[in-house]
Amino acid sequence: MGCGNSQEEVPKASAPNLLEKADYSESYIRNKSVINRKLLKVILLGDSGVGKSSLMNQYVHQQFAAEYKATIGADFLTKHVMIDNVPVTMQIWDTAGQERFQSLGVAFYRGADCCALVFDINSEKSFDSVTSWKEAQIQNPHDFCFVLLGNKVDIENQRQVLKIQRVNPLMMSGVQKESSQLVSAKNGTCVVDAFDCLAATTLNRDDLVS
Amino acid sequence: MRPLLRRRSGCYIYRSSPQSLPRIMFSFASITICSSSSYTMSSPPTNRRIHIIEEIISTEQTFVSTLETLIELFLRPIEAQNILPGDEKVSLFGDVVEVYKVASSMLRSMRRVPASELNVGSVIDESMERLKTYASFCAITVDLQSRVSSLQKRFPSFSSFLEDRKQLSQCKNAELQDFLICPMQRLTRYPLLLRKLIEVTPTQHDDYYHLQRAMDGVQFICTMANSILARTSHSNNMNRVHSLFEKKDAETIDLLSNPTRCFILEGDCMVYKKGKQVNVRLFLFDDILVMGKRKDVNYRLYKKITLLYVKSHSSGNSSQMRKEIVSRTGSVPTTDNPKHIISDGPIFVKGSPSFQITTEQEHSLELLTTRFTIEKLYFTTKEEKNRWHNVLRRATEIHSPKEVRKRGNSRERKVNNLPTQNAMRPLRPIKKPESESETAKCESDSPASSHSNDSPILSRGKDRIDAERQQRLNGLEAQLKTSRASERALKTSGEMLQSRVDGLEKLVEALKTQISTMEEELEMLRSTIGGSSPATASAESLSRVIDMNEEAVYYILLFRDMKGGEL
Repeated sequence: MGCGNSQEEVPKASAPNLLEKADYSESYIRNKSVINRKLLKVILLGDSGVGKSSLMNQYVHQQFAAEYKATIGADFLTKHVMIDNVPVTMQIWDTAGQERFQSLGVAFYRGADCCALVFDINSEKSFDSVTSWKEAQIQNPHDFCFVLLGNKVDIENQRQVLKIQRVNPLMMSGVQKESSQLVSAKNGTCVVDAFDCLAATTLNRDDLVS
Repeated sequence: MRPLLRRRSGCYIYRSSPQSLPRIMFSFASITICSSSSYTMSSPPTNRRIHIIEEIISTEQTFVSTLETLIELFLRPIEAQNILPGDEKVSLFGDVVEVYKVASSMLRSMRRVPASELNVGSVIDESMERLKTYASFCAITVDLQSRVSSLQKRFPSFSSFLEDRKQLSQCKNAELQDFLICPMQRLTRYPLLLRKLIEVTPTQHDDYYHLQRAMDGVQFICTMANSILARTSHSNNMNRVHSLFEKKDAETIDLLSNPTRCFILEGDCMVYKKGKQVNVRLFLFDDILVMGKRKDVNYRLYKKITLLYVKSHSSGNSSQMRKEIVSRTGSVPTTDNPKHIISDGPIFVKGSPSFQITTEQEHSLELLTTRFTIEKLYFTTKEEKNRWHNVLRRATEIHSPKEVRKRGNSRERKVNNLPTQNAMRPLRPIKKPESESETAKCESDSPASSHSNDSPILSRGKDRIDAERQQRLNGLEAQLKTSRASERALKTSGEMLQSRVDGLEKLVEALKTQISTMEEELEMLRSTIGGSSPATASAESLSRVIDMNEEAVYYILLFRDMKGGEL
């Protein structure tokens, strides 16, 4: 799927073997995997540059590409996790490039279970647009579980947005308070925790609904 | 050996094996280059260039193999086993084979030469015409989820087929829907990749010119895809709501008559009619709120409310609100305010505190009607109530719907000038870089335009430069044209606003005259009372007595309260 990688494949933009001719004649082997896991679709929304792809990469591969950062990440990444003793496949979708094309993103929202709104805590603008994203884009908010992720918490000194009273009003309007966190894709602060928490909240919510 | 860390100075720390200590090496090339350049340029640009080009190739490869999977694992079996009828198959898969052909031919061109010599810009630029297929393909993502599930219901074999596919390891947990939005994903990634590549490409590079063109082209296609999607989903929504109502009611609502009407939100709520609870579904548009009552599969019209802005009273109560409505509906002839004719009933009153009475048990919103009845909408949760309150308030705010519409209009207008249906019409001739044809700048504020302003400095022949200047000139002219068009659009919307303002001013005038007549009346009454007739005198003494009594009552109550407190 796009650049879809399962967790064992690490995306390497510069991998030399990619330049060799691929074997197009390769026939598809239909081996059935018996594992029937629960699938959770998570989409990452937010301004460009807030670190959506990095968060995804940090969570799935525990990597932060400071050296050469690929311009685009994978379209989605999957990770198998255990949430409350339930095997879950997290499928995390990156929406990079669609920030300016509102109608294009709509296809994502249908069928997603959870929507992580990512903002950069050093950029007030990214925080504001998260609010408008939520309001403007999602037509049926009750199909979603919303969480808020404030990224780049490693850059403490220029923090603009992190005033709890400013964050609160947003949380009031349908964002899952308990799983909204401040994270850092760079050093991994709270990233795993945030995604696990998000998965748990979504699952609980689904259980409640069903 | 992989650089572990890069410093601003161009100093690299290399580690040859995990065991050895880091050794520090200096990259002289980067020292000379980065002395005056920014951080992003600090690594040798050629290396970064190659990195990005390799990224473009590798992601293109993944994209192509994804499409292969989609075709081989989904489309071909469905065709072979006749799982879906032909038209359903076409509407679901669109022109995916064509998209695949474009992508794979692009990939082949990219692989023809090593990455270090590859001119990605020319490759993409040459395929620009064919890339437009992506934009039309994007239209299939509209309501994809619901379409797939309705197909699953209608064709059980399709449903079991999809279930079967889920088990395949090649699908990597992705479903058909996920595969189908891939071309859209890929399309929106091109501008990101190209922007990065342009940043590290020297202006005198052979490919620089083509990169710019490619950038403009893909951005244009993205915009095109976006507007195709917007229009498709908009008309889908309108038609859907229209068809939800019974035929007679649908005619009464007359949804489709207003081409600029925007769908905003729908949801469920409850109302009480003669003490009986009625479940209704709300359909909010930017100018009306339609309430439907479920009947079998369809809806019957319960009420159609035209949204009207009424000034909020910060400390207002319902009687004050009523006064305002009396004055407005009483003093303003209905012809001046056509909204009243259409509305024939309720209007929404922008939320003053008294109009969002909510206790912990009930989550309700109140709409005050011109018949002075209050339409109370009960929602299941507080969140839901707040959401509707916000949305309704925004919809009634006088400028916002107009602004939304204006934007929509100008976009639509822009699109109408462009080839959308016959997407294959050449945007500009290919393989003719020197051509003096128009370079349609799809978005004047895009970063691409700022790039194109710093044109190649170094000369590659006078003719070429001249041609490029000519082209820039043409581009600017095209920009000017679009700006003029948007100016016109702004003017018309300005006129609409002006007419609304005029209407309001008339209203204010009418109110003023009413106030003055009332004041005159009051004066007259005062003057008749002001006479020193015995009746007035007795009335005055009476009122004095009443005042004293009231004061006494007040003190008595106060005293009682104090006593109560003591007890």
